[in-house]
Amino acid sequence: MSNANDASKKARRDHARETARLEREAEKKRRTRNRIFIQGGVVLGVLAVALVGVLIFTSANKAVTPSAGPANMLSDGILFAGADVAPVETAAIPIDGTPTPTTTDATDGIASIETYVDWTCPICQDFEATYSESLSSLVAAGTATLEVHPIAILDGSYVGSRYSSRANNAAACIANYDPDNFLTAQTAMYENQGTEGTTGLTNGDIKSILADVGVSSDDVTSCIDDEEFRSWVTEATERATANPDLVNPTDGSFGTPTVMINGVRWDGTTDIIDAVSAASAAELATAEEPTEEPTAEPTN
Amino acid sequence: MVTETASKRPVILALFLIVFGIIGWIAAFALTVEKFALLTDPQAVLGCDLSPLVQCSTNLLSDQGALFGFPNPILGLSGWIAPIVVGAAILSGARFNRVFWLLFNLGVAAAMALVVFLIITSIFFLGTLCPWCMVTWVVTIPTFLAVTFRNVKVGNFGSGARLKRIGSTLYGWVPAITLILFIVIAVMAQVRLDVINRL
Repeated sequence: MSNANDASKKARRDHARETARLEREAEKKRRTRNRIFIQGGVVLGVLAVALVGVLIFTSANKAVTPSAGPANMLSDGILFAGADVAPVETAAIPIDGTPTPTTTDATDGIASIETYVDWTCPICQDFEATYSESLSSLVAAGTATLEVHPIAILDGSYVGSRYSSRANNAAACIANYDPDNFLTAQTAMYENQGTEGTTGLTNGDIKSILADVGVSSDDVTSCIDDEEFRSWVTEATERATANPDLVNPTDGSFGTPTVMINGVRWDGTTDIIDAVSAASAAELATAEEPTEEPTAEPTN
Repeated sequence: MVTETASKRPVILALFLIVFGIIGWIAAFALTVEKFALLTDPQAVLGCDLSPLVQCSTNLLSDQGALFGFPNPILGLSGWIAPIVVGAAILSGARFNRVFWLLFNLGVAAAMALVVFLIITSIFFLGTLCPWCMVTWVVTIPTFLAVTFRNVKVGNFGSGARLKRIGSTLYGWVPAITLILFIVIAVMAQVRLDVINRL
């Protein structure tokens, strides 16, 4: 064989190998690119389906028509005053309206107690067991008024059953349709409170607990079934949790029960009866202050 | 005697094991320290307690947070060392035999099983999303998928050619499958806990 033939054969072989190698690399790149497109496409497809599904689900569940608040809760709370610890009738917050805080006299010696509670909260259950009778006595004695603000902050503790919101709605229903039995119903709901981490009580359970203490009118039961005050529950809860006066000053958190005495948050370290009596006495002292007259007589 | 074709050194898998192992370890470390804080003061507000929805305290204080009688993060603190060391060893040229890889697979499978249980617990029973726990979910899932599918691919579960091809395909799909599982978890969390409105 001549050198020239060898050279050209080798050149052709090298050229063929080079072409094959380039083709292989191009093929590999094309396959990688296709793989990324396919996988990316599948992921994006799943993401799109998930987003659409979630959007449909959440909008279906949020279709809550705004409604007026419950009657007798113009301030987002139901007020009890007087010797028979009776509820004070008020109008209802209008649709899309805001609450009107209860006006109080700061010098009449009657302290204003406001409690922010969740009927599904175990610590509120303890608070009720410990203090409810004492608080009622303070109201009956004319030392204080009691305004109960039921809110729903514990839906997350009851695994999707919305027990906290439904209990709060039941509270609103009772305030609206059967306010005289509100405090009795509250005690009954605490005594039969569900356990956190479970689904809590069903509406049927709630209705039968209430029926046992004489709260069973058709108005109340259909209000519970229809969740008549569902939108008020959400709004009142949001208002309470966003209120800077109600937070724990040590960590900025909001929890239940939160008790306000004359607008000042009770920190739980003092006896509540003492705190309320002190507030009442302070009011009376303020009432007497500006009337001091100079009485010194010159002595001879 | 036919010698097995040596599989390529899995450099990418090794790097991935190191990086994700370190992240998993950091999350376990953080949870361990937060658990110490809670043991000192059960009412403590932790650095990872951000809201009633996004918080560590509930998970750390729950029964499921100490499944075997001690806080779960201790498992992570010790367990994540394994993928880090395996990854480092591979990068330095180590080759492990079939038994080693299967035992390693068993370890990451146990981690995956625990993570699946805790995801369901957190979303459906505790109603919270614990930040460091979620970091753990994010790194455990792809680690399990990658190790398992690679073992199938190189024949550690059986030397049939078709099985190895399936493993190879699945191994290539690990990022996509991981993202899809993240989407599934996010959907469950949204549907159950209404995350979007509560963040």
